[in-house]
Amino acid sequence: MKFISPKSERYFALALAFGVLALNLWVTSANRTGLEKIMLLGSASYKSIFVVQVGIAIVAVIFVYVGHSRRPGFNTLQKLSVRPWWASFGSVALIVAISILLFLILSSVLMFVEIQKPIGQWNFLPQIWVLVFTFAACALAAVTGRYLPIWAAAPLVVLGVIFASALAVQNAYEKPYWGNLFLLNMSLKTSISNSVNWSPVWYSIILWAVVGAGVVLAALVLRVKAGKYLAAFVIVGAVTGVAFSFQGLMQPFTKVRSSSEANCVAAAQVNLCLWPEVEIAYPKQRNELQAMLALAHDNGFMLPQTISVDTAKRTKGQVILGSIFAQSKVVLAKNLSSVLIANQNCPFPVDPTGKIITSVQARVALAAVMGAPIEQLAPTFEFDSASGARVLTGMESLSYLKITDTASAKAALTLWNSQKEGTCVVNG
Amino acid sequence: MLSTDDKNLLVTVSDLQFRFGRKEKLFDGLNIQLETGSTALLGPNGAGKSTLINLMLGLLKKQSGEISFLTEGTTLEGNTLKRQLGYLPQGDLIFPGMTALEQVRYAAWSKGIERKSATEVAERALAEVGLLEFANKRAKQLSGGQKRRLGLAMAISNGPKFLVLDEPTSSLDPEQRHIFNSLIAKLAENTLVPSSTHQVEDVIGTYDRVLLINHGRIKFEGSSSQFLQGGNPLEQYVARLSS
Repeated sequence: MKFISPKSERYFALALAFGVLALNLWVTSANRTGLEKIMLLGSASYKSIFVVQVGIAIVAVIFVYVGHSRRPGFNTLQKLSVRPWWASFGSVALIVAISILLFLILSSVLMFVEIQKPIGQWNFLPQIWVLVFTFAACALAAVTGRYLPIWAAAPLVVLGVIFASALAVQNAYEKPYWGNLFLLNMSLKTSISNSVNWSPVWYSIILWAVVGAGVVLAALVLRVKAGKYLAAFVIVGAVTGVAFSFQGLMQPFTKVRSSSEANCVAAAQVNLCLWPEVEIAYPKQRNELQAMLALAHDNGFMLPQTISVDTAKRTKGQVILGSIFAQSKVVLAKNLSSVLIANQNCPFPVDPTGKIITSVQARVALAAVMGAPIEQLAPTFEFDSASGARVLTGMESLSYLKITDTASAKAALTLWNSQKEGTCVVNG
Repeated sequence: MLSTDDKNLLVTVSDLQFRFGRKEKLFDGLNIQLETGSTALLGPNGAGKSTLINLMLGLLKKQSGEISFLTEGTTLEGNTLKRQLGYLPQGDLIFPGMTALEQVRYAAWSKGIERKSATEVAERALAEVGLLEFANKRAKQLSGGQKRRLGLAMAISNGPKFLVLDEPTSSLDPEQRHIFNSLIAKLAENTLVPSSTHQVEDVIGTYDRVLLINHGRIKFEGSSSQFLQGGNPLEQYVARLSS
């Protein structure tokens, strides 16, 4: 049923939605120069953009509500209405307000996730299409004054929030399941897996079954008579969740592949192997890898015989680098340093001060020595101190690890190498 | 809860006190009683007619006193009262872009009519005020008289027992005023209709009773025929105002 239809609010919603959509697409496009400019100009992190978008949503909804309630006669009608205030507001204005809120929440979440990815990754990831779909649904709702498109867009917002939260948890605790489920493993076109991973599908089905059941149960308890709306919510959510999970399976390079398909080139110390498509997409990465390995070798690290990209099996003496790690110098350095340190297979040294997490320190130091910008290597870690649990991030954590420049990174590596105990043998 | 012995509709105003801010009291112990049928709240601009209506509807907050709406011997309150109230404000209550039918449907829905039956109810109200043929026309495309009738259709969409009208004919030409006054007279057969007006000639043939107000005080209270006794209505009006 269509009620009050103030055109100004529709235009406002559409203009805002177009603006936000354009901003998100621009910021999340392949070349991050634009984002880097924004971040530099704003002298703030991606979190500020997230906060700004959420702030816009709140202000926009207040604007619509206040603007609507100040319409001549509306207050009188509302005061004499037997409907509750929110139902009296049940008009296009309410639809517009909800549309704005949903769209901005989702765009904020997706931008929050998207801009954390390394420079140079693919643009127009599937989640961007989710954003576009949500935009279209919200715009349709605002123009037609119908609630149905909003109910169809709502599950995408719910999914977005759930998976973004999961990604945040994963980032904090390195538990690679829920976040990857939606946002990394299944959405990166360059992801290469040696086996079909069905867990995203099952997780997605379980997740949406729980969410859908919760919403239906809440509707029953609250006696909401909105069968077709609920159906739209549950069906779109289920289809989206499952489609995203299947998308990961349908990508051609997720098939089991033999390492013999990789292009291997003998380098100074190791045999570097890359999938052909990785070579095409990232032709300079082999040179980057070689340079990094040479630096690692110069700093006393023993190298494995082969470095390949996601080959069939992790065998002794073979370091496996996923293609995701071949895209950014920072990510590459961080992962290569982790692999090299872990692969040395020797007990971690004990720091004389007893307060530094030495493996973390070594990983950061090696990555820095390999050429990654130090400020982008800052880990987040929690430890117990006399005053309770502390969490260090950014430069604070780097200072704590005593790695603030290349010289201190080299010093940390020297210390680490000198304190190694036990047998540190590269297998194979 | 008040109750009356008779079965008629009744609005009682007892010892009403009201002033705007720190100004002099507009109503200082006003007592009136309105019954089924139409009552013209007659008076010049600034007499307090619209203020009284707003106080009756609860759109303004009274300082003290009682205003009660009774039907079937029972005082109506809250949503029960709102369901029985119809209101035509002084200005046009027009939402740009909405059709006449959509507007009336919204008004009916806001008074508790279910969505499923709102369209039928709205069409009936539009037919009653002679606007059914304009149902799908946007409200802003209607003439002044048609807009007032649309407002009346919104006010009667829920079939109210109490229909409060604020200057219903002030902006209308003689023909439209005649049409509108006929509608009021017809609606008042089973409804309690207080209607503010400053047009003396409207009283003739339209309203059952007259309540003449000036500066918040009752200057005359009686039937229309009593009000019109003694000659020229306008002269009577002026004489009573200054009495």
